[in-house]
Amino acid sequence: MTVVTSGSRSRAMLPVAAVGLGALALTSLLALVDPHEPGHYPSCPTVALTGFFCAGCGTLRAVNALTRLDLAGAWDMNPLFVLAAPFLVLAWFAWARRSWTGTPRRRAMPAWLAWGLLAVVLGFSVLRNVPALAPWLAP
Amino acid sequence: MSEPEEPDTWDENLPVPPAEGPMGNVKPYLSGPGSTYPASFPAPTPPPPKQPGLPPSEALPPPPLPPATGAYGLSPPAQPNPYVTQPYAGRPGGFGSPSGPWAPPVGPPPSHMGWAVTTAILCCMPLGVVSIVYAALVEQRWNRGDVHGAWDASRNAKLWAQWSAGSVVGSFIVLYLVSRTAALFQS
Repeated sequence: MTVVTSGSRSRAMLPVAAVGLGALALTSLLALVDPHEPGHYPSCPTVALTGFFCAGCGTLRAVNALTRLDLAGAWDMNPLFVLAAPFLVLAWFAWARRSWTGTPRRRAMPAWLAWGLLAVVLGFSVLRNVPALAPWLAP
Repeated sequence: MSEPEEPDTWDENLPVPPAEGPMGNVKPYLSGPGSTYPASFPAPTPPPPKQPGLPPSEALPPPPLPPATGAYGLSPPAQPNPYVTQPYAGRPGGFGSPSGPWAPPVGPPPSHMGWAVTTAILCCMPLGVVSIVYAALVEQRWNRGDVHGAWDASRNAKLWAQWSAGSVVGSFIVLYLVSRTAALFQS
């Protein structure tokens, strides 16, 4: 097994802690300052420049809804983020555990799953701009 | 004919005394007592492997070294694991099991898939999508046994995710400064 010294462990845990604290701070900010009201946050550059929704449009409002435990409201804003959020949290915990124990990644993701993620993100960003699907997918 | 020229440079590089004759020190290998080649016969064999630097075509095929992993927070392996260059379907032990006393367990490189998806959803989507492509290539190349290519894709996935995040942060800062300056001129 890999020998973990205290210096390498703290060095490996530093970005983990930074990301965790940053995510907590951003979530707190979104809980306190409501993004549903216009003018609180700058608009997404993608929708401001092109007029199209990207895959991330509505994420700030979705995070705000999740902090109020309003799952339906979050789903209305960005269903992809609601689906991805648990996996992102799990990925953070797995990253933290790997950094703490000093063990490298053991398994590689199946290639079909990795390419499937790409297809989901691209397909979602296209489909939410289709007018017929806008009631379900658009923010 | 380039044959008489080769021994000259050969003799300069080597501390051994130069052999006599037009063939230089190639001669003892080809026209020794038991050799059937005449002294003037062009050498049919490549020069003996005395030069430290092999031709690049022969220097490339050895198993690719994984790049330095210090930037990823992992301890760099002392030697490349020869088993990881093969598809791991053929390994009964699977990865992670110690394959020898000299080889530390080496896992797949970080694919940064979490960062790629996060930056594709939260940050600049086109750059994040490129990061997802590279993250998928990490897994695909690793599963095929391409260690070097997997590490290469890992670096690219990280780079494009950083660009996706940095571009959004930078554009927000620029937008903020522009709006403040505009408000300054209006007042």
